Amino acid sequence: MAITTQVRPQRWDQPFGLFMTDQDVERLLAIPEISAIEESKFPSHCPLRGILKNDARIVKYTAGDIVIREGDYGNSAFLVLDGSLKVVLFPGLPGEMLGRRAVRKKNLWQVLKQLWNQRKVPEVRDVKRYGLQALVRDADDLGAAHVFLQDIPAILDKNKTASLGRGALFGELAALGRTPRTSTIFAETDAELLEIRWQGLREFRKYDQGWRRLFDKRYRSNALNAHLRATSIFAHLDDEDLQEVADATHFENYGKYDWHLTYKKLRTEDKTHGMKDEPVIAHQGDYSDGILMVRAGFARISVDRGNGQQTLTYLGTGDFYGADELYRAWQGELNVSLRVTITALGYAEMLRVPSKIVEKHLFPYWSSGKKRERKNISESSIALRRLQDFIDQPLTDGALMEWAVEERFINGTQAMLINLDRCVRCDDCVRACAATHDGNPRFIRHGKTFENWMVANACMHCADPVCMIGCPTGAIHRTMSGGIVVINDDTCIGCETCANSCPYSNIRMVSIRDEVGSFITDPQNQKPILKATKCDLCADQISGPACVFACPHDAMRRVDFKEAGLDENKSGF
Amino acid sequence: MEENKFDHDQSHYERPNLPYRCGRAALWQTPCNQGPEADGTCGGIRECNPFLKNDRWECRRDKKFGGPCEDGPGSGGKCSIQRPPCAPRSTLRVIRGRLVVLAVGVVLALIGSSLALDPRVGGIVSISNAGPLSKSHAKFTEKVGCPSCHVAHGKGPVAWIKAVFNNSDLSTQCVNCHSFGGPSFKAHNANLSPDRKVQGTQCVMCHREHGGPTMSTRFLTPEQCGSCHKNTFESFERGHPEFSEKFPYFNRNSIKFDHNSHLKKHFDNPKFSDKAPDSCAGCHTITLSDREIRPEGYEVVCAACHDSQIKKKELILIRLPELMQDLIDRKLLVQACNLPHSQSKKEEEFLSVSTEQLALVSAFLLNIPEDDLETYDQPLQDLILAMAEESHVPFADLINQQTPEPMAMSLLAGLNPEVLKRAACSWGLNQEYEPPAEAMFGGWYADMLEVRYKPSGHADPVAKSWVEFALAVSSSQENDDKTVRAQAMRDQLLSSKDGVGGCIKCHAVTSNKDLKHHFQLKVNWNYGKVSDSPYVRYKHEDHIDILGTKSSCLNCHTLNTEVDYMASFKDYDPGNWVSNFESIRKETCSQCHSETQINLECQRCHIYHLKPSFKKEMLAVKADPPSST
Amino acid sequence: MRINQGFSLVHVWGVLSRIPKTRNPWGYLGFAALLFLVIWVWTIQIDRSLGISAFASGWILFGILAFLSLFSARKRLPFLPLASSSRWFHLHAVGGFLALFLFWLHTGGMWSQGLYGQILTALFYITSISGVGGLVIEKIYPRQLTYSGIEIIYERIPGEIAEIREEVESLILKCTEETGSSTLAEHYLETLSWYFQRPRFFMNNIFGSHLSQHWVRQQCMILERFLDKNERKYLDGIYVLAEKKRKIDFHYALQTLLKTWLLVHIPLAAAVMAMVFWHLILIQVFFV
Repeated sequence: MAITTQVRPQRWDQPFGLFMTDQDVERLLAIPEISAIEESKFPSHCPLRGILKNDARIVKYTAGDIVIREGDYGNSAFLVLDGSLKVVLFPGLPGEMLGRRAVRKKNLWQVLKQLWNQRKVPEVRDVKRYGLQALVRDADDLGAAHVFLQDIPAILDKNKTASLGRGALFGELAALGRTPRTSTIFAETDAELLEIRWQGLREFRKYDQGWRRLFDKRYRSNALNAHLRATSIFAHLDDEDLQEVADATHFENYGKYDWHLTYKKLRTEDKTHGMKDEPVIAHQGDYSDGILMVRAGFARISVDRGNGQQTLTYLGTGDFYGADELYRAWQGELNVSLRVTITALGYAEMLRVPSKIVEKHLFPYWSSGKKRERKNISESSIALRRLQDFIDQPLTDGALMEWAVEERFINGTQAMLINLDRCVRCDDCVRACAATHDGNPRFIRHGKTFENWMVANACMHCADPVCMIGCPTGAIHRTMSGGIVVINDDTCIGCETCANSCPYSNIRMVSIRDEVGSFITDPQNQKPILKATKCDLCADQISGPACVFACPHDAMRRVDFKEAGLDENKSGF
Repeated sequence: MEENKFDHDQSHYERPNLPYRCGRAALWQTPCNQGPEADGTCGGIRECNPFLKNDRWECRRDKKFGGPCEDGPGSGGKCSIQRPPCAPRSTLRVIRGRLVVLAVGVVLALIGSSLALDPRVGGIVSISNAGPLSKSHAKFTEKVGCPSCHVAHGKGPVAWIKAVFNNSDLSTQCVNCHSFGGPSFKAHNANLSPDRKVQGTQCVMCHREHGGPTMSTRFLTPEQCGSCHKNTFESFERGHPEFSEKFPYFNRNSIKFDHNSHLKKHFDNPKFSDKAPDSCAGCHTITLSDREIRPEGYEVVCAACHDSQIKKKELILIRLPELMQDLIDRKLLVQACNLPHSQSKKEEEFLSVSTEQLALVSAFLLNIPEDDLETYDQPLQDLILAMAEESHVPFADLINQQTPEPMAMSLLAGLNPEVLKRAACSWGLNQEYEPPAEAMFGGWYADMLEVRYKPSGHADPVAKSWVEFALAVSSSQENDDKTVRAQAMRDQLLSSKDGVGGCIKCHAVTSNKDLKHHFQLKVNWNYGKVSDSPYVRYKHEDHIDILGTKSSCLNCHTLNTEVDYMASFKDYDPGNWVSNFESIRKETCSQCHSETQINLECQRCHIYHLKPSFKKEMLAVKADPPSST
Repeated sequence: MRINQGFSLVHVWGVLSRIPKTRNPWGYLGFAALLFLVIWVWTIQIDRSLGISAFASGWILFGILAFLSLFSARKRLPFLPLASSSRWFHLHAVGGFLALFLFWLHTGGMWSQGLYGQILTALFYITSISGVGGLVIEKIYPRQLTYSGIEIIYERIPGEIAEIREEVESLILKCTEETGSSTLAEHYLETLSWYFQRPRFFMNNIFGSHLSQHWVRQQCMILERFLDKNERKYLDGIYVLAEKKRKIDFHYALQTLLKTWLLVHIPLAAAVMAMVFWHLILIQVFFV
C-alpha cells in the first residue's frame, strides 16, 4: 500500500512576504528603528534577519488606499518607511466607505456540490494544494487589490484626522492585544510600509527593550485615548478634557496574560476557596475611588454569600463599574460603598479613572438633566435596577451564571449551549457540521453539563482567544471582519500549541489522510502529519452555522453568556 | 463522564456520517482505535505501521491513541498489538436507508406482479382493485371485468398514457346498458329549458361505485339536488314550495262519481245502505295501491245499486206518431204482412191511434221534424211500409248513411227482424202493436207504439254504440236542420235521465280539439289513469301500512262539500273541473314528514331520471329456429 | 437566551418566509386547524355543486404528504438556507396531523375499499401512529435522559461498558487475591457477569420502571451477609460501577428507541409515497 508522505511543515515555510529578498533585509536593517535593535539578543532559531525576512514584508500603497480599517482584526503592525498616512479618529468612517469585504462565502454551486462530496474517509486532504500554496495568496491578506477611499478631501474636512509620517509605527496594539483595530488609516500620498506580523512583534518585544518600552508607552498614549473615546460616558468630552482624563487614568493589570496554563490546575481546588486565588480589584464595602473599566480580559462581579462568594455577573472588554456609587456620593448621599467585589478572572487589564476627574468632567454633565445619558449607561454597564435584582435573586437563579463564570465560559462569544431537556441526542448537529466540512465534524456533542445545560466542546470564538498565543505560523487567526477565529489548514504545521492552549479542549488534532484512506506521513520518520481543526462557525457557508440550523428541536444555540445571563430566568429556549 | 474525558487528546471526533461501526463494539467489547475502513473492513487489526529508523523498528501509534506502545514492534517490523479482525456492522442510518429501499421495492413488486397477472385471474389480489362493486353491478361485470366500465383497463401502457390525457368516458360506458326516456346527458333526461343554459350532466356527477355491495349507487343528498335548482331549502318541512293548487286532482275524472252525494246522501238511503261500502276501501282496491288506488270495476263497486237503473233506461228507435192520414198502400201492406184480404180496405175515417211525437232518433235518421205532422207524415209512413216489407233493412240503410264507417251492425245488433215487421204491420193498420209478453229480459222489442231497446246491463254494446253514434253524427259544424236534429238526438241519448242506459249519468264526456281544431266530443268509457308524472314517486301502500286502512284516507283526502262537482261536467271542458276533494296541501304531509319525525329527502318523492330502463336483454338465450320438418 | 447566531444569513426562501416567526407550536396548530376548516368547507361546496371533492382534497393531501417527505431531504441539506430545521419539524408534526384529518376527509371514512386502497390506508395509519409515538417520546425522553445524571454519546456506550466490565473484573480479581475469598467471584460468574456483559433491562427502561435500580440494590444486598469488611470495600466499588452502568443502560435504552423509531416511520412513509404515486396513476388513467 503506497503511503503518501509530506515533508513536515516548518515555521517559516510560509513567509509573510513572498518577495522579501536579502537586499530588502539589508535595507531594513539600515533604518533607524530597526538598526537600534541588537541582533545578538535574538536566539539562533529565531534570528533578527530571519524575522525580518519571514515575519515582515514591504508593502506599497497608492494614495487613497486603506491600510487598516477600524474594527478589523489584524495580526500585524506597520512601520512607515516612506510617504504620509492619515488616521481617521472617532467616530470613524462608515463601513461602506471602507469597502468591507465579507468573508468569502461559497457560491450556490459550491454549496450544492457539498451534497455529492460526502466522503467516507475522514480528514482527507489534497496535498497538492499545500505545494501550490506558495503561489496562492492567503485569504487573509489584504488581497491583490487595495481598497481605497473615494473622496479624500471631503473625508479630511468632515472627520478628524491625524497624520503619520516616516518612522511612524501603528497597529501593534491590535496585533498584540488580539483586539480590533481602533481606527481607520489610509494613505494620503503614495506610501511604502513595513508590515510586521505579530509573531515578529512578539519576538521584538521579547528580545528588545527599546521596542518593549515603545509598545508600552504607545499603548498608553494611543490606545487609552481611543478606548476612552469609545466608552459612551466619555463620548461628550472634547480633546483637551479627554486628554486630561487619559492622563489621570491608572493602568492596573491583574492575573496572568497566559492564565489558561494555570487555569486547569485552578479547577481542581476547593470551589469555595478557588476564588481566594483570584486577584481582587475592588472589595465589597470599600469606598469607590474611581470608575473601573475593563480594557482586556474579564472581571467577576460577586457579593458575599454565606462562606463564599456569589457571582452575579462578569465584566468584559468595554464594561465599567463604579459610576453609580460615585454619583450618589457626589450628590450627597452618605456612606456609599461598593456593593460588590470585583476580581480578575484569569487576566484583567483594568483602567481606573479617579473620582476627582470623574466628578469634574462627568457628573456635571449628567446632572445637567440629560436623561438620555443615564440610559446609555445601563446599556453598557450593569443596570442599576438589575444589580439589585441580581443581589436579591435566589441561589438557584444565579447558579447557571455562577457555573459559567467558574468554567470560564464567559470568555466565549459563540459558546455552543445545548438544552438537554430538548435534545433528543439525534446527532443531526454533528452530521450537519460534517456535511459542511467535507465529511468531518468539527465538534463533539459532549462537554461540561450543569442541570440541563451542556456547553459542548465546540470552539467558542473567545473574546480573549488564548489559542492564538504561540502559533508559530499564524495559521490560527481572527478573520478580517467579524472576528471569528479560524485555522488556515494550509499553513498549520500541527505543532499542537493551540490545542494545548485552549482551556476548553475545543481544538482537536487530526491525522490527515489521502483519498483512499491511508495516512499521510512524513517521509523522514513515518509519523503522520497532524493538522489542528476546530469549529469555524461555517464562515464560508451561505446559511451560517449548520449545527444550529440543523437542530430539529431548537435545542442548540451559540450564545454569549453575557447576554444569556440577563435573560436566564425567562423560559429557556 | 470524568473531566479529562473531554480533553482533546482523550476524546476524538465522533463521525455519525460514516457507514460502518466497529464490530467489536457491536459485541459490547472495547472498540479499536481506528474504526472500520471506508470499504467496510476492520481497521483495528493492528495498532500502527512500524517504521524502520536506523535499523530499529519504532512504534508509530498515533499520539492520541497513546503514543508509542511499551513493547514496541515485534521482529520483522510487525506491530506487537494485533487483534483478529472484527466484522464491522452497518450503522442505523445505513440500515434505515436499506429498509426504505426495501419498503419501496416491496410496494413496487406488489404492483408489478399484479399488473403482470391476468386482471381477471388476479382480481382478488389485484393491486389496482379499487374496491368491490355494488350489488347491481358486481355480477354482470364478472365476465368482462374491469373493461366493462374502464376502457383503458387491460390494455398496454400506451393506452394508459393516452387515458391520462383524455377525459374519462365512464359516463359513456354507463349508457351502454342504461337508457332513459330522453337524452342521457341532460338534466332529468329532458330538454327542460332549451333557452336557458343548463349544463349537461355526467353520470359520475352523482353516481359513484366501488363502495361495496351495500353501497347504493343511487342515493343523492338534497344538497346535490340543490346544486342545480335555484330554490334550495333546508328540508321538506322548511322551505319546500307549497304544492300546486289542484294537487293531486289535476285531471278530470272519467267517471262522474260524486263522492259528496254518495257519502252524504245515497249511502245513508235505507234503500241502499246495506249495499253501501263502509269505508273507502270498500270501493278502492288498497291491496294494489301505488301512485293511485283504483276503485274496483263496475261490477264490484257500482252494480249493486246502479244495475237496476241502467236497465230502466231504454232507447226508442221509432215511435208511431200522430198521423194525419193513412198514406200507406194497403194492398202492399196486406201482402207484406200476410194479412187477410179483408184488411186491404182502408178505413174511411182515419183516426190516428197515436198522439205521440216522432222519436228523435227516427226524426234524425229520416231528417224530418218530429213535431211537424204534415212534414213527417209521408216519409214516416213510407218507412213503416218499408219496415213491414223489409224489416230492418231501411233502418240499416239509413244508419249506414250517417257515418263514414257503417255502424248499423253495432247499432242494431240483436234486432230480430220479426219485431220490426210485426210492429210495422200493426201500425200500418193504425193499430197498436201488442207484444205477446212483457219484454223483461232486455234487447229489442216492440211495444204498442214504439220499438225500443232495453239495455241488458252495464256496458251494453248496443247502448254504447248508440251513444258513440250520436256523438259522431252531431259533430258537424254546419248550422242546418240535420245538425240540429242530430244534436237533439244526441242530447236525448246523452241525458243522464233519459239516455239509453243512462251511460252519461256516470261516464264523462270530454270535448277535445281534433286535428282541424274542431271540437269533438268523446265519452270517457274507461277509468282514466292518473296523469303521467314520470318524475314523481308516491306510494299509497307505505302510508296505508302505517296509518291503517279504515279511516286513514281521510287524513289526506278531505271532501270538499261546497263545490258543485257534477256541474263541472256540463260543458264537457276537461279544464273546467273541480274535484270532490280538497286539494292536498303541504302541511298535510309535513305533519308526519317533519325534520324531527320522518324526514324526507328529495328522492323519496321525486325521481330524477326519466323512465330509466335497460338496453340489454334480460335473457341471453335465443330460441332455436323451428325445424324444417 | 438571546439568539446570537453570529454571521448566519438566514434568508428564507418561498412560502416559509411568510409564516410568522413563532416558536409556539399552538400557533402552527391553530393555523393548521383553520386551514383544515377552509378545505372542509370547500369540499362540501364542491360536493353540493356535483363536483368530485375527492380531487380537491386528494391533491391537497398529496401536496402535504410531499412536503412531509421533503423533511428527510431538508435534513440532508443543512447548508442551504431553507429555513431552520426546527421550523421544518414544527411544520412536519402539524402537517402530519393535518394530513391525517385530510385523509379522513378524502376517503370519507376510516377505512377503504379495494386491496390497494386498504394497503395504502394501513401503511398510512401505521406511519401516522409511529409518527405520533415518535413525537411523544421525543418530548418525554430528553428530560428523562437528563435526570439520569450522566451524559453519554450513543456510539461510546460499548466502550464505556467494556471499560466498566474490565474494572469490575479487575476489582474482583484483586479482591480474590487479597482476601482469598471467592464469594464475589462466584457471584459474578453466576449473576453479575450477565449484567455487565451488555446493556440490560431494556424494556423496563423504555417504560420507565425502576427495576434495574432495584435489581442492582438487591444483588448487593444479597451478598452483604456473606462478605467481611475487606470484601465489602470491593463490593462498594462494584456497586458504584454497577450504578454507573445502570445509568448507561438507561441511556442506551432510551437513545436506542429515539433512533430506531425512525426505522419504522421512514421506510413506511416511503412505502406510502410509493403507493400514493400508484394511486395517482390509477386515478389519472381510470377516473379522470
